[in-house]
Amino acid sequence: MKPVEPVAIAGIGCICSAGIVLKECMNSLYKGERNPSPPVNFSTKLTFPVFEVLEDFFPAALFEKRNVHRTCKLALTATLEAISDAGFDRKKLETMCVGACIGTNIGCSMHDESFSDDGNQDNPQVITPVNRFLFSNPTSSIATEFKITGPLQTVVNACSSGSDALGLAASWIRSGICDIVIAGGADEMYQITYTGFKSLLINDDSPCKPFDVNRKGLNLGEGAAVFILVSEEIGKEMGKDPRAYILGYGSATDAFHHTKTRPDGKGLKLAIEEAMETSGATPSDISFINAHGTGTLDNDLVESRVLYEMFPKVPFFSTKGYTGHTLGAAGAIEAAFTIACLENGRIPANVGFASPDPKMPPACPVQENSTINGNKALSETLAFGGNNSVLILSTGEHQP
Amino acid sequence: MKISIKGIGVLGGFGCGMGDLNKALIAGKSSSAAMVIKTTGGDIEVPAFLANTDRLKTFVNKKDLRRIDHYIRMALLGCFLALEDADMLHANRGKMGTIIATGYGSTCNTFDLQHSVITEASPFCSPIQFSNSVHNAAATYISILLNEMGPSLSVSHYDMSITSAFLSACQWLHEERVESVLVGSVDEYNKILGYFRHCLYNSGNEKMNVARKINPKHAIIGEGANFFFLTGENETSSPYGFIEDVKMGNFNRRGVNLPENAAFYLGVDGYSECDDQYVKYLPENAGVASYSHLYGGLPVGTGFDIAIAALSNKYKTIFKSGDPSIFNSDRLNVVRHNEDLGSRHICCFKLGARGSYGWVSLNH
Repeated sequence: MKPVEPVAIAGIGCICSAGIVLKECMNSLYKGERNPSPPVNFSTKLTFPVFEVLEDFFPAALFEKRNVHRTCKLALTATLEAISDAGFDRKKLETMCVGACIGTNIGCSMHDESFSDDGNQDNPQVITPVNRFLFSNPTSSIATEFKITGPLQTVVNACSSGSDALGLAASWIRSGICDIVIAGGADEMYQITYTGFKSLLINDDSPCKPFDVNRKGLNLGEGAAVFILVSEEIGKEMGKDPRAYILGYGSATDAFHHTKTRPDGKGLKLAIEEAMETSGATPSDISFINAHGTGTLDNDLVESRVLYEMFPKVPFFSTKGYTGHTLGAAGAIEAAFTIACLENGRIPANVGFASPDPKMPPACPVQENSTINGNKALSETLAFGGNNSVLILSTGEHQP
Repeated sequence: MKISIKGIGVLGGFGCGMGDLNKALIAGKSSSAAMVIKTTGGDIEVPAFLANTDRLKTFVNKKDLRRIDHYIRMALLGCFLALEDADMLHANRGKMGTIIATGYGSTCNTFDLQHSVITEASPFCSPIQFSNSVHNAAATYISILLNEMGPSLSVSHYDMSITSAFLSACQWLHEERVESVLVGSVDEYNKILGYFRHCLYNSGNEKMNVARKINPKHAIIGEGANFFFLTGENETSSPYGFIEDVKMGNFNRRGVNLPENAAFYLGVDGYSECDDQYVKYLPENAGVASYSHLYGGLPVGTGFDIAIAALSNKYKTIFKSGDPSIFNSDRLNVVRHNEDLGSRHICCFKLGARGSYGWVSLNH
């Protein structure tokens, strides 16, 4: 792959259990705050801790369509912040070719509980939940709310959906399909997912400990991050320098197992190679790596080995200990954190890590907030199905 | 660079493979099954075009199929048929990308899973059922069985799913990110969709205006898979022709720009609220056809229209259309008998939910 043109990011919005705007999230991370607890948004007999967004976060008064699913509420809230951050007028968006590309899992599953009940009880109201399903897709919600007219795509690549959506959206800008793309990821906490992860025996019953020798699994989370990607022409028209850039993107598949990471890390290596080649960056250009680091035995082991082999001197950390694993939103949320860290010149401690795992290479994640130099970083996500996605990001000329 | 269609794999109510699809086009019909759904008000019967996946056994050994549900089997069979058709099953495919679109996902498995967790209030569920319910499960089986490590993308955007998949497939080839793309779509019948159709057409529900516009005989639920093996080359001819362009947008807000000198294969299937609006956007006297009477109503139906367009390129023929009630308009020049394709392009055009539209055009 040849290097590709960087794509400008004009605005970012982020919501998760660490905060309901990006700045608040970063403050929580730097303070080392986290408070996972058993879910309150649905009833369950299980008590594994999760990272839910507990605040009444959805500014309903600001939206035309308010009765939407939780994933859509998260996506719309992050989009509003991103548009405001970009300095766009909502009306102005309606005049341009704007596309939307959002990654999710729950956001387009037939996941309406009443729907399941209705179908089994012969309730004619089945039509209502079917319609609700059709209109619960976060990409469609964004398109409807902001009256956009360009292409729409909903990426369902499991946990790498958010990163893949950003990589694909950048490609739409480069090829001239859109002036602007609203891109990112969104996912809500959901009973089926919570129970499903339990069945796979990869939930930790305490706050997760990415890369630690005593790690027992992941904690689930929820949230959304949305980016406003703009073409060069629109950037000039705005008269405002970009906040950041997507420099490169790569993805590859393990071809190995549904839920286990390929032990030799070959898929991840291929994705990193593609992302680095398209970005034109070398390993010495990378200031830090925002790792996937779920806290599961397999993921962290494979990831640490690949990172040590390809970037032996580059500091890395996982933010899952602050947010939980936000599934389809994870790649986008972590890309937002990566850019914010570059802007702040500081990365947060890998919360939950205390003791190194002797099976891992002799490189530990950062254990305290650390200063970094440089303006480029790598954010990676691994997913069910063996999907691996990698983004190379950099700061822009405009500092928020 | 031209995007060449090298091979196609299809299965649905019309049968399995391009030969069966061609036969159905010539006969002008497919056979539907009567699906019985038990309800507290008594049994109801719903017609559906179902897909048979028996041929998958010729590609995948029995042991590997043990944990694979019908939805994933359809996707796998579509993929293998497309590769076989392209003579690429055992050849070096170079760096191949895989893109799979679905409107609903693996619904039978997902509903069973939901039922076990929600209705039975169980804190546990089957790990296999859970991992198969993830939307990219079909793509995972494909990558494992084909040992393909290239980029893999699963998309789900209701009735725009397959169009958005083609958009990305063309992007990947134009960017030279991959040397080939296996792109396609899959959706399955399930009893809740069957019950939905029953409510839509039998309970006089005023909330949905579809039922008043469409003849229920035309709106038969379909299931199946359609897959395409695409390459980007500088060839001047290709048996199935070339993907010329892919466009998506919103017709309510900005209208629709359609290609000129084209015949239009419309995604009219009896389920879209805007089936009666095609006439507003089509050029006057353009030849139009609909083939959902062969594959049924399903979110990824446009994929079958693309396969039919590829057959039209191959045989230089526009096949006689089905007869949905919207074709009563005097403004539409409906293809009533097989006719010569001539120099026309073919535009597979779908109007979807919330004003969305998508089209994929082919030339030859």
